[in-house]
Amino acid sequence: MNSKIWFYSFTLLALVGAFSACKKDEEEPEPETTHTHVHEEEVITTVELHLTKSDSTAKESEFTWSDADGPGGNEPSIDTVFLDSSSVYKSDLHFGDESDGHGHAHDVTHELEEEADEHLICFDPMDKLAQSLQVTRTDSDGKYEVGLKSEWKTSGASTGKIKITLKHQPGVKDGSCSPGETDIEIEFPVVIK
Amino acid sequence: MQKLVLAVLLSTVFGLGLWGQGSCEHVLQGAVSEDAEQAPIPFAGILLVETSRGTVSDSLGRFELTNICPGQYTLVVSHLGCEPDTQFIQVFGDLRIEVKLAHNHQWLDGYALVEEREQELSTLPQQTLSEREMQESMGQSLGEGLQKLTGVTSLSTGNSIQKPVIHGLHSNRVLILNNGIRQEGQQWGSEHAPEVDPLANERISVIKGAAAVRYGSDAIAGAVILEPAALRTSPGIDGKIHLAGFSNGRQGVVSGVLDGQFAQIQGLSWRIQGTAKKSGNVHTPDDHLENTGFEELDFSWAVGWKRKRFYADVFYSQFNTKLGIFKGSHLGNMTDLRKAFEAGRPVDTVGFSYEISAPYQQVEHELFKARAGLQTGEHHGVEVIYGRQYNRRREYDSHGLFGRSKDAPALELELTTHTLEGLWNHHNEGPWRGKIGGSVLSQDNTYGGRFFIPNYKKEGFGFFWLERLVPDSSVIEWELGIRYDYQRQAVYVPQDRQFRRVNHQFSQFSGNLGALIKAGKKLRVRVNTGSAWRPPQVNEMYSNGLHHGAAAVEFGDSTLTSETAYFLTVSNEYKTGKLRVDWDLYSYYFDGFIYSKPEPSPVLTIRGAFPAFRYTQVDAWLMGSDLQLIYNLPFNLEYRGKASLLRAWEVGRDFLNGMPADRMEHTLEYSFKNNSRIRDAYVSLGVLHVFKQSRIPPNSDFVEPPEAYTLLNAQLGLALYFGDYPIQLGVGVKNLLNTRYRDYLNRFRYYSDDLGTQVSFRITVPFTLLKNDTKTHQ
Repeated sequence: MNSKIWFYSFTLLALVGAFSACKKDEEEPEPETTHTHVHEEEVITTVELHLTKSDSTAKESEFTWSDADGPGGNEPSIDTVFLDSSSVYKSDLHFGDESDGHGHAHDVTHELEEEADEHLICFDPMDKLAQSLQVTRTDSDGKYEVGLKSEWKTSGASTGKIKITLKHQPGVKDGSCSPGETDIEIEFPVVIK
Repeated sequence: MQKLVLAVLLSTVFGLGLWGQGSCEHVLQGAVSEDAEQAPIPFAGILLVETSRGTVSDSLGRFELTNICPGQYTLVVSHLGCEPDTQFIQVFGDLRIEVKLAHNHQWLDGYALVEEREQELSTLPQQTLSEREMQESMGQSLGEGLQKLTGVTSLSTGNSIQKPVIHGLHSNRVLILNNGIRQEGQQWGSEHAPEVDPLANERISVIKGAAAVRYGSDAIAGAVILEPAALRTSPGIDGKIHLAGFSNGRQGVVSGVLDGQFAQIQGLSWRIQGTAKKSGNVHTPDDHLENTGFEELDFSWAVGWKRKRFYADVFYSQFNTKLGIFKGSHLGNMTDLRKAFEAGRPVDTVGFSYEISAPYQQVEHELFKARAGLQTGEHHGVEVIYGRQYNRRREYDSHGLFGRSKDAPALELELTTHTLEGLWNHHNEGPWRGKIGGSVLSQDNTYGGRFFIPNYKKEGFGFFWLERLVPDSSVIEWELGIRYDYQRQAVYVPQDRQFRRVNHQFSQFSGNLGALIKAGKKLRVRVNTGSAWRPPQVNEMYSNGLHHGAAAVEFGDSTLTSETAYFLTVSNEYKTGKLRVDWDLYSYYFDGFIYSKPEPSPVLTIRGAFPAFRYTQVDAWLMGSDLQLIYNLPFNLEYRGKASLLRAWEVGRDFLNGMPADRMEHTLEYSFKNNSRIRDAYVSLGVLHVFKQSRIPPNSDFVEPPEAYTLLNAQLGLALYFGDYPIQLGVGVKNLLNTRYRDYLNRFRYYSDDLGTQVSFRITVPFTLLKNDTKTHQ
């Protein structure tokens, strides 16, 4: 009696198992029949630096750091930032994704704005440039600065590079650049005339 | 120099053994137990052939022979229904012997199984985890457990992801044979561990050397063979429960198995088995590592039917795991990595927690296997095995991609594999015995999310013929094998917003010639030479872009050709009553060894500059030696020494990177006397020393390889008898002194020290639900 129960319950279990083994749809790897897309992922490929000289007549200038085909492949294209000495600029940073290949960047800046409390942008004029360029963040997530908007102040003529870093600091943001992981780290050549 | 030190050390210990010539007063004590169940065997016959003296084991399987003169003897232990066991023993002093008798499988298990156990690839060194080593590694990952074998190390990403490394080679150069089916998982990176549950297996062994002819062309470095216990052979139901706990990570492991056979249907047996594991954040001597917990849930079932000449069985298993990836190891770019390394240790922000958050991996592996065999004659049989494997890997990044839900994996891979294998065994009365077989494989891979490897379809077949010549009189056995494999890959490469289909075909012969020389009763020399090859893998041909985990840009090369290895393995086994030495020497010459070579200049990306690696082919040469020495000392002490050396070069150039450092281990063990309640009690203390890996090419790594380290480990175990049931208990301590160390083959060495003291507890309880005699239950 006892073993009969065992036999039936076991047969049942075996059948269930056998079907569970076969239930999955076998996906064909051909692209036509799969839901996979080449660029399903959204990435940041482009950083646009918009600078407006604070005297009212000046118009906005735009400098781009772009690696449209992602890591590897073609080298990124990098604009040189030209600034006047002894001036103050308002800066706006825009982040875009060009990986859809249509030649224009899909703007993801607003997504960064939504997650402002998890992000920090750091500006780091390097070497000699540090003496003639000073960058101050002017926006806030309510508690700490963010850096999407900033003020660039130049003094004497100089050339060099500025490093711009986007840090992802979920739960660890403390206003400094140390915690978290680096999402973006680029350098623009700068010429101050 | 280090070799010399080692040699001196070992020979000193060796020298101790030449003590103890004496008169005929020695006592031979022993115990006989059943191999699989570990139950003691009463009334077994014990015969010391040279003296014609014998005795019979008592109700607990124990026996004793007194007044034995020093010398060499042949001990034969036999019992009805079991294979008799013959041992050559050397008597210096009093001696204790454990004899395990296996049930005679001749009609129970069918012909093929018996053949495979003992005779497959007899000219290659094969090491099996002993019952004790299986106990000591209970609840640990496969990679961790296998490190108990000499010459086997592990490539790790933290404590939860470990891949076995044999002779310095790993991933797609080591084949894992899981219950007779070649494991097809995602072996594309060092952070992809084999998806198997060691607790579902009774026997785990490693063939060190190219087992390619028998198992498939990519078993270049060797094969890891996992075999579950045979299904129950008599009516009734029994089972086992394993429990283990680990202090570091507060890990708990529960595993159980139920085995049964129906009384009504002759020969119909079944098994259900399952394992659950949960671990929280582990800690180094100083800090907890955030998000290093994991969860695992595995189960399997099997049904088998066995008659005198026919057997068929079905097996299904599922492996599910969720692995946290240490937060501090998920770095954005080289600046982060350099900072982490300079900081020396991670920030301990959370302390202990079981919580697993992003980044993490979720991996599922399913295996369905059906097998049937028929004994076609007294000395030959056929067997057909079908296997289907489904593997799904989902990797979640810490940063939800912009515009995508955080619940969506950043990377998803699905791999489905079908295999079919047919075998014909023959074992003639004459000197030839062998095996002819063929296999077919069909596999496809799809990916979603971040590009890692393209979709592909792979189809292939192989044929092999292995033959052994065992002349009656000769001291040399010969083994000869040849194999042909063909593989076709259709790869769908994303390019300019389209998929471009690229076809690749690979085919080649592999072969080997081996000899087993029995020089006297004590020495066996195994020599094996031949060639093996493997086609380039899809990731080696088509990876392109930033490899996050490795903080490097990797480029594949679609023009790669097959990699061919020529090998020579010499393995010496020397055994006397008190001493056992296993000494393996091996050498591989690779024609077209595929590896990722550092590029001269870094690649500039929006995340900063990264070092670049390109898969390339070079001629490479590997040679090494593994030594194991076991010696029975006086006062119930046993010494075990292990040492492994390996050198690997790119021919005419520099060293190859990523090779395990030289290591040696000394263990001293004390066995307690058995009594009616407690048996096989032992306590051991081991010292493991790993040298610094200083042989790496320049600019191949981000940071210097870590310094040498020495760890102290301890083990304690015993079997507690309640009637016929032995309850196995054990305690293990790893890194007893809480030493700070880093291992070259652990990727976490960039960010943090390795684990602090790990204390583990384990217990195995066997039980019977339904006795053999089913009539009393009906």
